[in-house]
Amino acid sequence: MSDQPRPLTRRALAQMLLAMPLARLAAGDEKAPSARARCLAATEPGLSTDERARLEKSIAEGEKSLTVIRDFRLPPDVAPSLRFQAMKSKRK
Amino acid sequence: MTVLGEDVLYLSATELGSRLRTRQLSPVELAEGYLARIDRLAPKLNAFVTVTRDRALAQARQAEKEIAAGKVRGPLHGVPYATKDLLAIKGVRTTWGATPFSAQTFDYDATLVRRLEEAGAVLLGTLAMIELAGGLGYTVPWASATGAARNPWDTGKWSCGSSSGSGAAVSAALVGFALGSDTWGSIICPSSFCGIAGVRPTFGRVSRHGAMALSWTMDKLGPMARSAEDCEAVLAAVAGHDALDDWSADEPPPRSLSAAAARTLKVGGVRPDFAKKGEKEVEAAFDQAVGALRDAGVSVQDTKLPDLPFEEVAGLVIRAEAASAFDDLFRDGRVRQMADPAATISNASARAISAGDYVKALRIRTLCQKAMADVFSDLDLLVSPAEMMTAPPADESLEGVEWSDPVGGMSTLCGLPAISVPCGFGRGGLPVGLTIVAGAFEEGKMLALARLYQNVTDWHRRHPPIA
Repeated sequence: MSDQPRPLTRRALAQMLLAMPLARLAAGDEKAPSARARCLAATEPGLSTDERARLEKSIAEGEKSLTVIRDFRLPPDVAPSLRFQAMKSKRK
Repeated sequence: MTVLGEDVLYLSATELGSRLRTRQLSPVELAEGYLARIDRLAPKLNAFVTVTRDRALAQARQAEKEIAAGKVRGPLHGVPYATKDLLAIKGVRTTWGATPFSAQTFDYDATLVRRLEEAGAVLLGTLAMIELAGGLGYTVPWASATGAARNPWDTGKWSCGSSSGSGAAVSAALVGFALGSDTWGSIICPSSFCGIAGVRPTFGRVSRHGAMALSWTMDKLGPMARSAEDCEAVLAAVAGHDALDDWSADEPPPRSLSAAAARTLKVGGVRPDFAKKGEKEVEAAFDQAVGALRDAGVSVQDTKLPDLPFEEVAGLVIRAEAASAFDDLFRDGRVRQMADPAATISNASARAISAGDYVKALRIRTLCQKAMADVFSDLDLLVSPAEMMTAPPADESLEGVEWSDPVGGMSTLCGLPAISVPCGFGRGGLPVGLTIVAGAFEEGKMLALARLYQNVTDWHRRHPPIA
């Protein structure tokens, strides 16, 4: 394939405009909830239309943090910051 | 009955305690003075949930007898206070700020209530809060069974959450001091917005037995008062190991440092980028506060936090734990009684977090803790603006508000202690807070610097115009 830019024809421009909403979704634009957010919101029972829209937005906003956390590289020897110890009974 | 004036009611808790011990002031008269002020001003501020008048007067009478007999319990003997409405008080309703729990009562006292009773403090009642301490998230200041708590500096503004009533009541001198809780900012923000001192202790320093659980690994309880010295006195009375709280730490009490020792502390200044967001007046107040510390002989050097996702991890941990804590509300439909329009969707939103995400977040938290332990191996304390803004309107949605507490996410995630003390005024004459953060269980250093700052400034002695 050539690396030379192709001339911007009317057809190419139309294709770019049609593709824009998908690109925005892929970039995680908060105005367009992800497919996952839409799916989770759509399957949640007992919500009004407003609540469903709010849920979509809330999940989409949470996805930014989730992405940061999921992409964070950790060595396997880093344990969770939780304490656990076996619990003794009161039996003598 | 003698009616006490503002000159007395605005005294700090330690000043009140001193006058009570030397019998210049009567515990009964003081309790009656605050009860009268509560009757007059609390409704304007939506500050109180329940006033425990009979209990308060009975405790005040007992304090009067004991002090007269020379049996002084300590610096808080006879000093009136109130608790955020999420601590169990035997026979008194504890609503957690939420309509589904409006008739809830417990048959025991929370450890903090018991310890303050042993210290001779007088319980005036319970204070308004954001419903479930914001555990389901909140988008409006009136996300509370008692409505929006109003800021005594301007009743059109909010007092912040979730210890909303605690901030308003201390600021307006309805109490000698108050208790609050902080999972992320719930003591620090109301203290900043209301122009008072508030301490979020190290995680595990103060027992949570009898307190509403929102996030088991993030919740802390602490004092809110009119001076850092007051917070130190209250912390001394309530801190310490408690076998009734599985997460309670068995550490020696905070060590009190002199002003001379405070001047030798090595302090890092965390300066947020106000060009991106925040109020310029807050930036100016912070600069002035750092200048005052330097003038007092303290070394403050600019520093940056480690580049770690403190806020993302803190938010995820709280959302996941809160979803579990309040799951029953969603299962039985009582969530529909909540005041915030976003409450109904919070559990479904949290379900987008997987078990793997939660564990990963807690593993990153381990790294964050180690990184901050390294920071505090080099520095004694960090200072920063508590919030980059002043109080927003009480009657408008919070959805457009750009929150930013520059060291809040880091310090609460890592379980580190923090204090906010007033350091000036911003837009509309509203208070601005300076926060000081210490390493784990180093509250003594933090309180010493706060006391030193308050010795060389008088912001904490300014009173709101409410009357």
